[in-house]
Amino acid sequence: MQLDNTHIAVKERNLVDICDLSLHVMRHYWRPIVLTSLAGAVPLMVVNHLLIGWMMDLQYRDAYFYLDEGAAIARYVWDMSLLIAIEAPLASIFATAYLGQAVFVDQPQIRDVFRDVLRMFPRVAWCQLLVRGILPAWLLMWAVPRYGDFEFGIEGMLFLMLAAYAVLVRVFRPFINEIVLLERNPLRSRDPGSMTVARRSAQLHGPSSADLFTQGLGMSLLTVCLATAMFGTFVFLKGVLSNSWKVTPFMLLYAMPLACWLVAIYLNVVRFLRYLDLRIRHEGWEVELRLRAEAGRMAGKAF
Amino acid sequence: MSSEMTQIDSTVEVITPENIAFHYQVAGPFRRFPAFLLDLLVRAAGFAVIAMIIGFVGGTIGVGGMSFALLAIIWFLSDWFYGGICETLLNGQTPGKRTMGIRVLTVNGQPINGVQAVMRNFLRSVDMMPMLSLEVMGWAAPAYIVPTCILALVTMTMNRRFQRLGDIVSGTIVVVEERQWLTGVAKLDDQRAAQLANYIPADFVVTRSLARSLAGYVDRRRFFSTARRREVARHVAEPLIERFGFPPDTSYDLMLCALYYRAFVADRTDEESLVSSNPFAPVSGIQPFPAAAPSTRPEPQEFAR
Repeated sequence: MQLDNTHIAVKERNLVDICDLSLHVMRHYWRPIVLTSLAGAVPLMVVNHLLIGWMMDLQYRDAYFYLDEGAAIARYVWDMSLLIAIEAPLASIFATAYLGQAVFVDQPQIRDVFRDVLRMFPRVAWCQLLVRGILPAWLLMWAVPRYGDFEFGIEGMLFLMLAAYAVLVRVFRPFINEIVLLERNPLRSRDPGSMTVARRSAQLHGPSSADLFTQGLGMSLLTVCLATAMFGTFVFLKGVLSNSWKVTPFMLLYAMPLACWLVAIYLNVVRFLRYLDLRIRHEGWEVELRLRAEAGRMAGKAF
Repeated sequence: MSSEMTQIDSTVEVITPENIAFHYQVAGPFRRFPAFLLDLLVRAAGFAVIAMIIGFVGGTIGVGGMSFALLAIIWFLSDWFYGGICETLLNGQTPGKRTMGIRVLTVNGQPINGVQAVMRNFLRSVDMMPMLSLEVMGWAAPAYIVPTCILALVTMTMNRRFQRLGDIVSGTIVVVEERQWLTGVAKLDDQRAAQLANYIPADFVVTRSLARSLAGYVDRRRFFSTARRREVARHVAEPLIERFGFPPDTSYDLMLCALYYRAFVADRTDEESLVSSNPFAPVSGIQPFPAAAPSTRPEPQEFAR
């Protein structure tokens, strides 16, 4: 491992360049990224399906729904997209850990990545499941009566507030996965000088809140556009193959979440590169890497 | 002919037919999309002005039907030829591209010709596929007018030069016109750096890579907090302080500044010093172009042990 010879070029970039470079990274590491992302996303897909899949269940719809079809679809799309928006960072933990290694190591072993992440999972679970609202979101969706009407209090108000909280936290503190999984800071420490997750997060994100907010708005817009385009592509493909252009409940049940998760996988790569960029801008990370590599070379020479 | 660097980056090396290599940053879909939107706005604004004029004239002389036909022809022509004509006349740029600082070149780094410009713009409609029908959004009649651009996104992801189908067919790339500021030797405010540099043993060799690292550090250190300077500089300064026998409480930051001073200031040749003192003076001999400020840092002198 040569610290100043990274596999991804380490230099300052703006947001559009990061989005472009992410496509290169996706192409180069597509297989491990897909594998690690699926490992994180598939369990969450199953959970989501169990929680709200019944909303598109046509077999029972006539008997239980008194919403019209448009309202039923809107309800499902609303709940599912908010759930995915809240869960996306948790799904990306394996991919983040992989990318962190891929910057320096030639061929990171996916097995090692999984082992590393599982070792850190209690910290991740605390940060993502509890602090960032995934568990409360599941509980809220679980509390919605099955095959019942739209619960305005739960789905309309509480869930929206929770999603807004989760998204805002993520806009201002986007790199918690990187802090936990790559920098490996402890959750808490008795030593006041020790760099805990909270302190590190404040130190890293604090000085650039305005930048992060602007980037967060841009990323939100990009997310909506990409997810819509991706779902539209699925509709197009289905139309070409079956000559039926109607958006069926089956499409909503499977293609809509798939489109959202595909976009989430891409945005995870973007987030990782934004993390590198933030460290370069605020901490001179590339300078530190070069100096550490120099120190290594000097130690190798042993004077 | 072109080749790419092994590191994952949006920079490609383009080798011209004269065997000269250039490094270009290629513009990806997200850099190009704002330029596309700007061009769309320019076209829409131009069309609105023309439509008002034609509508007014057509209404005045009583040929309303002809006006619609004329407008349809103008829309068709602007839709298909705006990009091609602009890129031909403006050397690979449209107003949107010029605003965003990007330009179309051939894969050899040459200016594009009219055929290439028109061809790549003709194929834009393919790159915008698949088109979505408004039926998806509850519209009654089929109207496939909403572009998803997923085909372009996938195609650009599949190659290192971010070429969409139109670019691949016409042999073009879109590059970022970067203007990088090259700085000279950094000014060290702390005079102790020069004093400490005098104590560095004469036989210590500042290697090229160390010199580059020091230059990077000194360039960026003003953006770091004191604690961060100490943290970053420690990696190299700590072993050197021990090796040179300096007091252990010597500032790590000062140590690196002293090394920088030693590599880039104290050991510069007389000629380099002359150039830096008067950046407009000719270096020596015949000067085909007006002399400019030195754009790169001098390499450190290698001392014998």
